[in-house]
Amino acid sequence: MAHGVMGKMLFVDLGKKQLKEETLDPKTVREYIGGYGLGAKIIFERQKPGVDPLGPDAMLGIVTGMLTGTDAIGGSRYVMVGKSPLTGGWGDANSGGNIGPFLKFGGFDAVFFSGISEKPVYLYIDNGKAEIRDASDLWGKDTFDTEDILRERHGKKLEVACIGPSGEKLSLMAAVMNNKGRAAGRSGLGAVMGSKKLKAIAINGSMEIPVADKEAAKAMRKRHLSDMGPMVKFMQEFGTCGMLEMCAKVDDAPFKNWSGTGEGDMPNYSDIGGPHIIAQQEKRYGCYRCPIACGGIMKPSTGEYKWGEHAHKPEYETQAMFGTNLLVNNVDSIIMASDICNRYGIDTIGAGAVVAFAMECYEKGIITAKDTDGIEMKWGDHRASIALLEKIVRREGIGDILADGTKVAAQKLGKGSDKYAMQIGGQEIPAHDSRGGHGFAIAYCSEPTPGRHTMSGEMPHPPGTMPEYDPTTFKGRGKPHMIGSAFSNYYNAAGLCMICYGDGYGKAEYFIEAIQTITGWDVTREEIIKTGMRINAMRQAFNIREGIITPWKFPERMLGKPPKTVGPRAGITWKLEDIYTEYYEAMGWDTETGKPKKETLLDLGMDFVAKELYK
Amino acid sequence: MSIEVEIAHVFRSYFNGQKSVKAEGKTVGECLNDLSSKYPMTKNMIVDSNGNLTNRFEIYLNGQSTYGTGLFTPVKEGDKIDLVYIIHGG
Repeated sequence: MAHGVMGKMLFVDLGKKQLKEETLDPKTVREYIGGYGLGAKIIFERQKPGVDPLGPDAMLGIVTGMLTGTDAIGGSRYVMVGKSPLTGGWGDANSGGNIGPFLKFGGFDAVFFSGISEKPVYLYIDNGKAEIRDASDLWGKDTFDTEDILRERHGKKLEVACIGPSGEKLSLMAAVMNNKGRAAGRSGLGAVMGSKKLKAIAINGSMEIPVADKEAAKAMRKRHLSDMGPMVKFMQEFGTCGMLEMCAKVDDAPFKNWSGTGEGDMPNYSDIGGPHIIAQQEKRYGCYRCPIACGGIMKPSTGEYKWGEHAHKPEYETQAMFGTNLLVNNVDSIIMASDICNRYGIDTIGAGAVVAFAMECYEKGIITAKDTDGIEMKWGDHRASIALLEKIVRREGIGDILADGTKVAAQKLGKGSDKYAMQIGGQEIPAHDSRGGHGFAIAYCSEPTPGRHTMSGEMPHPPGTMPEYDPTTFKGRGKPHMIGSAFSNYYNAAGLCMICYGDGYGKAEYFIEAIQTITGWDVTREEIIKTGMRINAMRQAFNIREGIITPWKFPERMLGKPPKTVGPRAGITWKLEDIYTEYYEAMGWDTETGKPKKETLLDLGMDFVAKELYK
Repeated sequence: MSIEVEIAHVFRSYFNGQKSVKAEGKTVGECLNDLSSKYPMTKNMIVDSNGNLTNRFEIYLNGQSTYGTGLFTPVKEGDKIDLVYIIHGG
């Protein structure tokens, strides 16, 4: 028996209304950990290639890690997994809150869904027992109402993951939501959930997670809490929204759909900085047992925009995508946009990007006010941004075209609008600039999930994790990035929060100790790196089998073609091959196709994958 | 050599609420070490215990990135340092 896990997975065929439990074997846990590692292995083995991600043969999983819900600091995460309808490749989306730990307290490490239900349903789990329930009365409700109704029905301690109307309407940017504002937002997996007519997963759980040494784990947590990293204070005071002014100052943040600069287009970006958001925060919000609590709940609205009760504080990504990216300097409209997205269940990064796309299309005359039912999509117009967002989440008018993201919208609009679709492989680019951000550039184009800011080697890691490297160049960066990426894959799969991991753990050794203490494994740094590489190769193998060739292609603008002319990143232009080649070499992946080499797969003990990819 | 270090609003609580502080040194690295000795809450925050710049921060000197020369970048009287914190996430 493995420690840190419940040792049980649930498979639910929604078409046949069948539920089946399976044991999670300890070898799989050690090799694939959990989260998207376990998820990718299970789906690779059981889902045929080429299936419609919104069809009955597609699988959708909610998966925890072996540190989720344990004494490890930041063990609050779960991952949604499946084939992404946005990219056509591997999809995953990570979220915090409480639902991850409670899935384990409910008796399961993971639940995988297949089939399509005839009518709306939800899965109810109560301490090891699971059943499919009718959700006809919940269909059409927003995520807040859905949680409230289910809690009224099943008790106040119930935890819920659900979709909102955007997921029901199969918006390819739809998110899976929990705790009224925590989002598994990327990869469009909310649409997969909607296609299955699965409204929610509702859990009552109080079962205990078996741990190798319970007393040692408690003592370890206490010790780690007393020696956390110096950035914790910043995250407690502000959370991620505190980053905006600095990211804007160095043009890491997006301006004007990535065509502008802070200096040239929005010198007053401080108007929407962290202090202005915090001024409207009522209280801090923390995920399960989090000592940092970087989230926040906002005060009731007093101005033009009437956000709802319990509106969550906008995160940096939301603040930038609905702020600087649109040249909007109105804090209230950003809080409102965040709340709309959370209630309807849609990715704030994608939604902000598609509004920016519409503004640029309007500027270029590709769309007019006639197309938008009278909304003049001018840069900086906060009212226009909110009015269009309302249309997108409801799929009304032009919102129906925009609700599937910039790639699909550009295909439908034509007229050269694809130049303004700031997406990579169908996934909208998050709010960190690849021009000047070497680590972001590598991650955006070469990871199995494109255009993601929470993957790979430049993320915060505890001191001592990453080898030294020259941050000014891609040369010599392949191996350090590979090591950073491997650690990232490991802790994401284990169910840890990246902020806690980077800023909460005072040293890399603490992270290793947490794994050892919870699981009883004699894990080493070398094993972590190899396991992380295995998880990444597993996700990439899914893509290869779907016929996807990587690196993913950047929009020309994001390679600096043409380069910016002012600001700290002026003059930067990159070639795609310079960005990813060394990283793929370090990973043992083919530099032309991104396919993990046969010897790489065999070295990682992935014989079953090698057999499938090298028939 | 006394150098001005601008403190972003969100970091002022680490620096007793000040908008800018003075640091002594001939290089960016010496100035940052001076800061961490004057403001203990910043210890290991910008420069780690091995004396390397952490991957959370970019240091700007007079509005220009110090990428390349990093902590060894020489400074002179009248220069201004900016501390820029960038993490993934949010």
